[in-house]
Amino acid sequence: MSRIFITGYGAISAMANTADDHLPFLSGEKTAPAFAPSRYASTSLKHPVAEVKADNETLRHIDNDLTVPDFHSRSTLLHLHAAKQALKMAGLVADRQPIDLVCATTGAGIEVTENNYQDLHSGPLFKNFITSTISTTIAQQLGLQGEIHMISTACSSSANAILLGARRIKSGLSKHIVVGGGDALSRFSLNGFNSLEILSADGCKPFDENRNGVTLGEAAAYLVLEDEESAKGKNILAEIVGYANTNEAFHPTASSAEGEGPLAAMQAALQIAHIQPSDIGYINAHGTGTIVNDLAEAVAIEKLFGNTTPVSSTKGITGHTLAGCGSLEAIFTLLALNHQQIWPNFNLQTPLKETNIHLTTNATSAAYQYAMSNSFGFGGNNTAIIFSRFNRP
Amino acid sequence: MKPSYIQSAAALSPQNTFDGSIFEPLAEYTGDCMVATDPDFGKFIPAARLRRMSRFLKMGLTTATLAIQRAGFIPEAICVGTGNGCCSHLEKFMRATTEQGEELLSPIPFMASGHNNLAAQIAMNHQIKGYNMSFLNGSISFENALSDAHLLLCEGQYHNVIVGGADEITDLTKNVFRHIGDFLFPLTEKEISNKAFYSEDNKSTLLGEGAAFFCLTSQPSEQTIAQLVGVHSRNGQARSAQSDKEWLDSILASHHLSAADIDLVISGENGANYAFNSQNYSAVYPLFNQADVAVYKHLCGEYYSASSFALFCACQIFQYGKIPSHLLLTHLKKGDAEYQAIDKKPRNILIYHAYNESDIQSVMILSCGS
Repeated sequence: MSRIFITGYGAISAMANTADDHLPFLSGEKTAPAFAPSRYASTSLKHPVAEVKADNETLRHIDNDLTVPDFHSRSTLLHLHAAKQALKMAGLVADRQPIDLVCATTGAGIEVTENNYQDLHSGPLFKNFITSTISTTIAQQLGLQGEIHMISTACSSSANAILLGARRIKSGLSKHIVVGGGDALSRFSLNGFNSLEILSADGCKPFDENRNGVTLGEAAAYLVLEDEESAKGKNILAEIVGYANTNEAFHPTASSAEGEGPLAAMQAALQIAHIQPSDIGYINAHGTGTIVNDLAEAVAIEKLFGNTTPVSSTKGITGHTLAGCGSLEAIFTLLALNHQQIWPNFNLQTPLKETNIHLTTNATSAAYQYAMSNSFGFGGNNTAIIFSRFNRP
Repeated sequence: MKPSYIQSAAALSPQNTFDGSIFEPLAEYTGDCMVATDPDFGKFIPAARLRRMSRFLKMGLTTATLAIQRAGFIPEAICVGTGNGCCSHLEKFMRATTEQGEELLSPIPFMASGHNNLAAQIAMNHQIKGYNMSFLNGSISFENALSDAHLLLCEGQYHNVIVGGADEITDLTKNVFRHIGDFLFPLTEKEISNKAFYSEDNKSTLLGEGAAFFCLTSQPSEQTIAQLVGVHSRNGQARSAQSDKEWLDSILASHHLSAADIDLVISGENGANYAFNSQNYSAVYPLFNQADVAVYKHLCGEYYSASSFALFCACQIFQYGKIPSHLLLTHLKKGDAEYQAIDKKPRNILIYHAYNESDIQSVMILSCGS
């Protein structure tokens, strides 16, 4: 069994076009762009969102050596950009070895379909609706010749991509694997969350007593995982030591008030890592800003960790990026770990009253070895991943 | 990797496979698609839940439930592969946003449109609280799910898992596939019968649908149907006959097998478009010159997770120790689609799939139970 090393990462979100450029926003050095109505999604809804600045034309030319066919979705462009960054950082050359891929999406490029819905004859546009164009386009454009997987488990999708990649490395099935996911904003997702009456009118406030729902965002984020042999001599960024996915089998979209599912996922991840709750120095929570699910997560965290382990949700600056949030927040978690920082819980004024979990409001320094990132999705899907700081021998 | 053990198999298809088997004469279809034969869904799903479900969910949940009943245990984990997922609910919500001008929308189709909804429904129905994964990856959606299930059992944390594939035909998928055509090829240039899929002059195929589910364990038992030896796929962008051979040889060698150990190849060839088939399939058949070649798309039609039906066929062939003659390519090419049981129990079966769509190839290797 191999250890699981992270050797590269890449991300694009409303804040920045590269992963490392997110750092000043997380540390509070810079103020994140304010949430504003979407410019690119074909919607009349004016709810504020966290949208990537670049339009599709700019995204298409952000990398000179990629030639993406016109019909590809904004989602695909975001995925490609993040995956390419990660691969480059890891210094992996695709034609020398078959590199595997696990990507993740919820909408599969639905923003293209919804714009062309009336025209069933529009040919390739419709491929974005249902086919594997995101996974296979990444594989083709980046020359990945290995196994290609694509996961769709709602908002835990890209956390599960990391989890599957980690398991494949550990078991020896993969030597190097690119893992992550993302979604572009769409009329579909905005209206979906709006129809559930969980879209915030003025911006999400995770874990706040006065939280009033989700702010949607868009992002794509990817990591490169390698086994011990493949990572030899490379700049190892962190190690994945624990992971788990469990199902609450309770309700299609809501968590149980006791947070049974999140609790089970966090416990199982700790077991795999062979560590105690007190070993975790920072928890990057899922915390989307909904009344019910934030409470369930807070209750589960309090049960397992008590009130001393620092917890924060970073969705106050990224918005909820659906299939992107698992891998985006995994990168935030490892940035926190490597800089020995605790990121703030953005937009927090009055912590929710039902629990006393240790929510942080400012970036603070701390010495710790392990950090956890949570991602939960519709369908009762709960995932927790534990990262360990890599100590150079 | 260690093998895992298939303990039960269930399939809902355009053939009489739900209560019956593949050892029956071929049900003939001539329209523009092959629709799965509905069982009594009410026997498997409570009426209140049934009303809100799309065909995809009904077919998937019912077939998964039958696989669980046949296995005789509630699995600890769930892996599902689907190419189109909950596209009917997705389409319904998309249409509503357009027609209602983004106002007063019912959240029900949105809640149901998540592609992991089937895996979630199986979890809720059978109270399965362990690992729960859904794959949405075109023609290898099911292979993704199966390889994950296999890995899960090898890791040792889980002792059993249910894995399956499902897809439904909707008006939209019919239109999409007819117009994009790169995956399914011209659907119906003229009225064709599924009995004539594999005749020389056929250029088209029929869209299909269905669900197939399997309960797997990490340890063999008396009821074991087959051993799952391995599941592999690749993006074979730069492939050639030579690289196909090398890839397949390396897979076989990794399982301590050679091409001569394979007695039956179950091929994803769908009969249409000979140029493509000769490139992707005919190049592979000579590597297994001692094996029979069976096909199955004339039973289930063409759809993304159809390879789950191929696995069902392999399971039944092991279970019955027979091969139905109307699956054999040599018979079908001669225009003979009549059913006859051939007594022959293969030692090892290789299921091979290749699509021009993105040059994806996949292989599943199975070995008889003992």
